[in-house]
Amino acid sequence: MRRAGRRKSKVEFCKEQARLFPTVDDERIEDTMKTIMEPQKEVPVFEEADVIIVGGGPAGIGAALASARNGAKTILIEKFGALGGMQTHAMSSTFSLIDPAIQGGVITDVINRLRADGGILRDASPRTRQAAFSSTSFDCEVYKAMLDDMMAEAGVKLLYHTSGVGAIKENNALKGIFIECIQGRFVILGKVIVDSTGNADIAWKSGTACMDDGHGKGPKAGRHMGFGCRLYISGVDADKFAKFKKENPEEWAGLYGGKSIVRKAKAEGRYHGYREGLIIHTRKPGIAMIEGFNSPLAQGHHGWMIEDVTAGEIDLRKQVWSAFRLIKENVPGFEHASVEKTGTIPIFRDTHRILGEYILSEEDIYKGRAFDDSIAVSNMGPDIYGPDEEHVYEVVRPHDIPYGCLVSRETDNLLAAGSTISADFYAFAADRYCAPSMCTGQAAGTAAALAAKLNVTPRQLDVKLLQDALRTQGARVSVKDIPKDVLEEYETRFEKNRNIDDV
Amino acid sequence: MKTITDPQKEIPVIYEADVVVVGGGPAGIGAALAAARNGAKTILIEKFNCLGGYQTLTFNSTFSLVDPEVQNGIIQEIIAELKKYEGAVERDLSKDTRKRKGMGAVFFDAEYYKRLLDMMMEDAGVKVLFHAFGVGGIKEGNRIKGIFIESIEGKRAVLGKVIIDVTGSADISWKSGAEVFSDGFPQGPKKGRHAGYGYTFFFGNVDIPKLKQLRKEQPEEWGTLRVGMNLIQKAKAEGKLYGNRVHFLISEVYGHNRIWILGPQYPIPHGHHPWVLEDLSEGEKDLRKQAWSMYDLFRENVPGFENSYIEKTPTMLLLRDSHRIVGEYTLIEEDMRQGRIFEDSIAISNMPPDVFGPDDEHDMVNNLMPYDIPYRSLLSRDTEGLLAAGSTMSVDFMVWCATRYCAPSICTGQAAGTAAALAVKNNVNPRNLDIQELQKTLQDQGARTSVKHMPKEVLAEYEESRQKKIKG
Repeated sequence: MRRAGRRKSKVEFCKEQARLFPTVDDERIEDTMKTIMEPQKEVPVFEEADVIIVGGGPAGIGAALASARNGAKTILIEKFGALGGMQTHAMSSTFSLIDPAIQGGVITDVINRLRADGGILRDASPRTRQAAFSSTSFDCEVYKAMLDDMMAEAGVKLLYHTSGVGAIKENNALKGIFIECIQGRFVILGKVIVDSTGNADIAWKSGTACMDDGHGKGPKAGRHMGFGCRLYISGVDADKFAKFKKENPEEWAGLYGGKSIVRKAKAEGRYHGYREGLIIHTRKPGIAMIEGFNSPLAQGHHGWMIEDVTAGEIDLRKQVWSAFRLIKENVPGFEHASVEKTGTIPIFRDTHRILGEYILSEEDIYKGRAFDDSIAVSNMGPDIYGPDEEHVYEVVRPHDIPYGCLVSRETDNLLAAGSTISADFYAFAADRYCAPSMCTGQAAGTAAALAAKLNVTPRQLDVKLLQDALRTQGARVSVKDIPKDVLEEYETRFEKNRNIDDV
Repeated sequence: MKTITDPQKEIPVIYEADVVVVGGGPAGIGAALAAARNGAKTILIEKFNCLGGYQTLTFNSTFSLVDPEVQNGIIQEIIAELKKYEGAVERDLSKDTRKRKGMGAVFFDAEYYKRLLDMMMEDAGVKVLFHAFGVGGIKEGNRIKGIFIESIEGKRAVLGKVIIDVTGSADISWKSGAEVFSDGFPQGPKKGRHAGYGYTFFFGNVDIPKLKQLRKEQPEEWGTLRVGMNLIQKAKAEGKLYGNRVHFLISEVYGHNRIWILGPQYPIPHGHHPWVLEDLSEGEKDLRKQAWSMYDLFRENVPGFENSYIEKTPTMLLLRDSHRIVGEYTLIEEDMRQGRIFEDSIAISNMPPDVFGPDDEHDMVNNLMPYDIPYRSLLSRDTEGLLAAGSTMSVDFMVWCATRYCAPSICTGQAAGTAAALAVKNNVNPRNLDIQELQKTLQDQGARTSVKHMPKEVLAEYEESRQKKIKG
């Protein structure tokens, strides 16, 4: 197993950045390299399947539905008690930059079903080709129940509260995974494993080469994006808040607001947060959603280290309460508000990604490059929460995601989808979003089912066959298939919006 | 059964502590704070991202039947800390505790509780690890000397001189081969079956004045905590309601046009167990389906719910009886009913058994006197260095139905944490600890350790309400 690099002590780190991590603790003894020998064990086989999908976020949803619909016996492993990943557990309940000319197939089914179930709160998709950024938001509780039904209808075997903790590797091929759950440790055997954990958990823990680079260049090279979260507040008088915004355009024009409130509180040392303003949405009666929280990761710290995750959770909770108090005390409409809910996990951003047959690059996504082995199209640009407080979103052209990004370079029977695919930091910063995730998920699930059926490894699969299957099932496979007029609209958007900061 | 060989592996040790507390629910909170404050280097392992266990993760954000003469120490300190933050205690009904009127509960804001517990752990110097799943114990002979955790960074070892299993389901004890109970109902036709899974969730945007009007107009159907029996019966007969309960518990105490509901119930059939993965997984889906069916029923039929929505569902279902350690002593129903006094008592409970049957039945035996919980119920009979508290301690099924609640859990947690710290300090096994030193330390730190120390007039109040319940 690959071990994380030497960590700077948290004491040193906290001296540098005193505002972070109030708990100074450097008791971890990893540097001494003490180990415990865990004896050999016989682990019972819980189940055998054609395709095992690890992780029930957007990529896993796409993969599981596609795999089962293409006839494979499919098992989906989810760590928590509901599907949706960041969309439900971190309450990022949005589909950003949705456009039926760009994404099709499973994601269209999912969104149509959400609409039919009354789960869409705000549909921004008509603005997608014009706006730099647009997002369709939904009710994550409707979504959770709907996904249970969709999985049952497709015949996916779903296991909740199950952690995929490693893989069974024989020579260069994966044969199955180890799971830990309430009942103990088990094995699930499968012909193809789709790693849609968002962190390349299975790939990394099975010793497959992964990228863990962080920022690719500049003074922040090697540093990772911080953790994020969202906050829901109840007891909000939305009309009063709207009136205040309207009457105070200098304080609350556009998305960002409360700049002077935040500035004053920061100057007085009453605010624990990094951004210069607040993003508040009101979409349900009495409820407001606050986004944009970010807990930075210092040099040498990583999103896959347990203390960093813990410190991130504690820091985010502190930020949430600081922002909540500030809003309650200063923003009209929030006088009687309460914290309604916070997430089950932080928004994990960059951690590990597989090293695939191809690495999608920054240049590929800016140029809108077409690939012969493309399996999905993305219109998402890099959305980078910098290692410190900076946030940059850049507009790019619709671009292809080639199959080579899903196929592990060195390990057979391992496919990646969503945030786990092989991409450089900037392409990752774009295609980590839910729309590309669900589409690459559909591609990975379809590829896995075809490979299992044809008894070949995913690497040996005829890409043409995969592309035909995806097209038949409604997916958009390449920018080459996108109508010219649609691409022209995107070109106008690209020219207009390139290099904008902080949307 | 087909198996795969998992080869021998070297697992990195990332912490060596005095006391390792596994599980961040009420028992774990009590244990971690007590251990750290008594000088032990303490690490608290939590599977999810916040402390509080069912108090936060499943919205059971109450301290039931709290009484400072029965429970004191950490639990009262937490309630006092909550009260310092405006609005964090939604309602304090604890003055009703001795009268046995309702549940004498303190209802609080779970979100503030999460933040408060972060701060309290930091102040006490407890090292907390979130998103860390304790998957087994590290044993040397009959001694446990650490645990394995699985997390985003892989499998790691955390070593400790004393391990406190406060997982609520004796996860660490069971998985490391310590003797555990897994009995379920002890007698009758349901013998061997387990309490079903429960589910708590919230409706939002409810017109509360309209609901209050309804409660007034139809007191039998809507006036109490348990509501909707006729509506449910009718809907079930017409095939319009998916689920098992015959009534729902609802409460509007949490404010903001919000209704808290304990409704969906997942019975566990004979031969099935709450700790079986497929039951757990199926339970989550089925309970969510029941919640939505209930929502449809309410929205269409109950005044005040016309524009409501499902506001939030829990991080996990309510897992009730599972495994418990087999301790040096197993507290039995008779001990509880007789209010038996133990020389080695370390906590008092005034909680009666709240029994959720394997099917739909629910029973609360509300006529008991406060009773002692002996230290031996926290001590594993066969494993050195292993203590339990809360739902994991050594009690029979009926006592478990009572002591599984948060007040006895925090108090037994405090006792386990204190015992662990003293054992480390005195360099003895928890089994060989001087009980009087433990009791004295607990008392010095505000805890109530035995019914025999309770003021006579307080016991008289309990006796009075007990007699009333028996007659009623």
